[in-house]
Amino acid sequence: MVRGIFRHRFMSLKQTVKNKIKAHRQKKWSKDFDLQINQKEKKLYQSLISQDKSRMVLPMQEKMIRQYSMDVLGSLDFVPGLKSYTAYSREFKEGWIPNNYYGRVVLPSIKGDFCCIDNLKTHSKRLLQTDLIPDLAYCLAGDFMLTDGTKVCENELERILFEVNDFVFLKKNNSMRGYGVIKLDREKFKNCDLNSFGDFVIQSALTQHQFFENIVSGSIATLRVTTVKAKGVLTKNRLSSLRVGRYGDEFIRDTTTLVVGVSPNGFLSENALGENWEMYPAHPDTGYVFKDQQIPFFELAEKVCEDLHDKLGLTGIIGWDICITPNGSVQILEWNAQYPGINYSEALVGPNFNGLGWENLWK
Amino acid sequence: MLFMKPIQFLKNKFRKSRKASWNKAYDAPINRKAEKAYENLVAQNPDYKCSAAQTKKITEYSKEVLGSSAFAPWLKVYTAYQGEFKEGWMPDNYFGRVVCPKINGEFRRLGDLKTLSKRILQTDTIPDLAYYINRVWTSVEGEILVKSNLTNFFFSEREYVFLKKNYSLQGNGIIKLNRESFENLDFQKLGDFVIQEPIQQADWFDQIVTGSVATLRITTVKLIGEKAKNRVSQLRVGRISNEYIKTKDCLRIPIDRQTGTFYPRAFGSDFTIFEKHPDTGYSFEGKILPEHEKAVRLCEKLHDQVGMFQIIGWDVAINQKNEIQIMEWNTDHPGVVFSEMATGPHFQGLGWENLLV
Repeated sequence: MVRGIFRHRFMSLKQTVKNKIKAHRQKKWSKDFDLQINQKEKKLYQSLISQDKSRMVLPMQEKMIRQYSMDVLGSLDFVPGLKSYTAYSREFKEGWIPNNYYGRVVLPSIKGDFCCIDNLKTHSKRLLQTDLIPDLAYCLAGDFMLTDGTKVCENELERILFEVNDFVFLKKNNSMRGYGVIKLDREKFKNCDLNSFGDFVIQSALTQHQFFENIVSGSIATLRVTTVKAKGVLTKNRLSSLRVGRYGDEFIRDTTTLVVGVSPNGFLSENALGENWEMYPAHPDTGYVFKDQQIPFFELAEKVCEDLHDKLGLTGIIGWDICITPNGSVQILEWNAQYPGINYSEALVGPNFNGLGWENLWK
Repeated sequence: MLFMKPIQFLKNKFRKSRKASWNKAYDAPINRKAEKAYENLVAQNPDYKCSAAQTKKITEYSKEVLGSSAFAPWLKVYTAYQGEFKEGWMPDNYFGRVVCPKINGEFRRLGDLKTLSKRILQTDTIPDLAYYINRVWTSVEGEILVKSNLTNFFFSEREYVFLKKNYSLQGNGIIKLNRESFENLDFQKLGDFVIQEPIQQADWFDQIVTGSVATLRITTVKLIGEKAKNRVSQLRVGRISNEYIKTKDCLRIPIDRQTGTFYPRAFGSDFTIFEKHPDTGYSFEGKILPEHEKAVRLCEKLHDQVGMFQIIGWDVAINQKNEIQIMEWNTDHPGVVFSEMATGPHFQGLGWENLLV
């Protein structure tokens, strides 16, 4: 009996030590996570005030930010994100979600277990059950097949693809943000070693609506719609932005893209922001002025994404990258269920997530 | 810098120790089942007892080829039943913690999401009627269903349906619902789920036992650049009291994967051997499963189309119209012990025994 009591106490102590180690590890991880993001936020803040000194956060605003960060979000670690939002907006707004709060408090609470399945571009069409993804063919475990499951050899695939297309896009699984995307004409297709890419999808090239061509031509402008699915209610789009490229870009890449905010009615924000939050009231290459321009078929794009998310479930938030074609068709380029970005639009047109209770998730 | 090396050394030691503890915790219940299985086999027939030479061989193989003596218990069960040791066998714990994570990858639990199975597999052979996702009802066609119409939607043409929760397996998380029990159920407590049409099995199976739907388990393996091939066929039948097959209380009949012919002996969940069904007296030897070839072709085709995984365990039923219906697909840890024991090894030539090297 004595041995039993001793054993029980030893196990309780062991569990306590384990829990302490876990908590310490979690705290350290959060600290590293915040450090990385807040270093960037401070740079963004410096970038904003170097462009426009009047955006400097006033002492009174700083006090409000610190109080809100501590009392509502539970820590001062969220101050840098709130500060860069405030600097952009010239005023502090309640309800903002800083990037690190989103990443380490919100997403773990609302993300599903399988959200990384968004990496599998080969399976997106069937998962989402939609004809709005421009897939032409797949390579799965070494087999080439068309979208209806028909297996084909490499020569047959080449013939089918380039019968009607001058070029196609090959997207590898686990590729994102333009990386892992290869543009192929017939010649390049013949010469590349298709077996070296792992699993991939081949998609047709898309043409964008004239509205987006007027902003800049070359790359496809990407409308980002971010749908949120809360329990018991239908999915709603909560955050939208438009990403446009620069002259010379074949497709949108992180480093060169400009992000324009989009209001709930589909109107573009006053400024676009570059990678370091350089502010552009007009496109630097074409002079296109963003303010008050309304995206065509915006409501339709929202409805498409909301419907797909409702039927899919899987996770609480999805960022959809959309292309709108000349005849108003909504085409899905990508969907991001792991970490759909929010910070550009929170600054440009936010706060976007009021009423969801996200500020209480840390409690 | 000098200080970092000891810290890194300690960290690595700690991680190695944690991994070893995890493996030990994983192996323990699986090997306890192996010990009980071995004891039960020997209790039924003392000739099943492994000789000292066999035990030595098993231990050596387990350590030198598979990498640990922790894999010996199931090899002992297989050897006991077949009377000799065979290379290439897959012990359950080796298969579960070494092979499946490596060959099926990070999405191996995808088969647990019953609300997405139909769309991932792109097949009409899964009898889904509707889904409950984040507390919103949708039909298979994607229409939002209004709560007031639900009872009529499900029960105007049938007396009962089956509710299958996401992450449910081995018969758990399945609820049979009639109109009354459906109306009284608190769905909000169940997470996401699918509602499925009941499957009426082909009359041929009623001679074995009635009550639950006999489930044909087909295990397909697909290597890169090759077509998917069935490696194991096995029929699971219930006991006379069961409404549906439960893993812990059913019979498993090994089937010749080329011809669909039953082997003469079936196994209870506790490894009791049966030559006839204990409740109905149905004799297994020489019977040929109808539509076996059709079921195998379907599973191989679906595996080819989905890619993603190297091994899939399919649970299929044959209905009154002799159509094949997919009940479940298992990509996390398809069961192998009964088939390895009875008619294996089934996974030779794939290099799986070298994955820990």
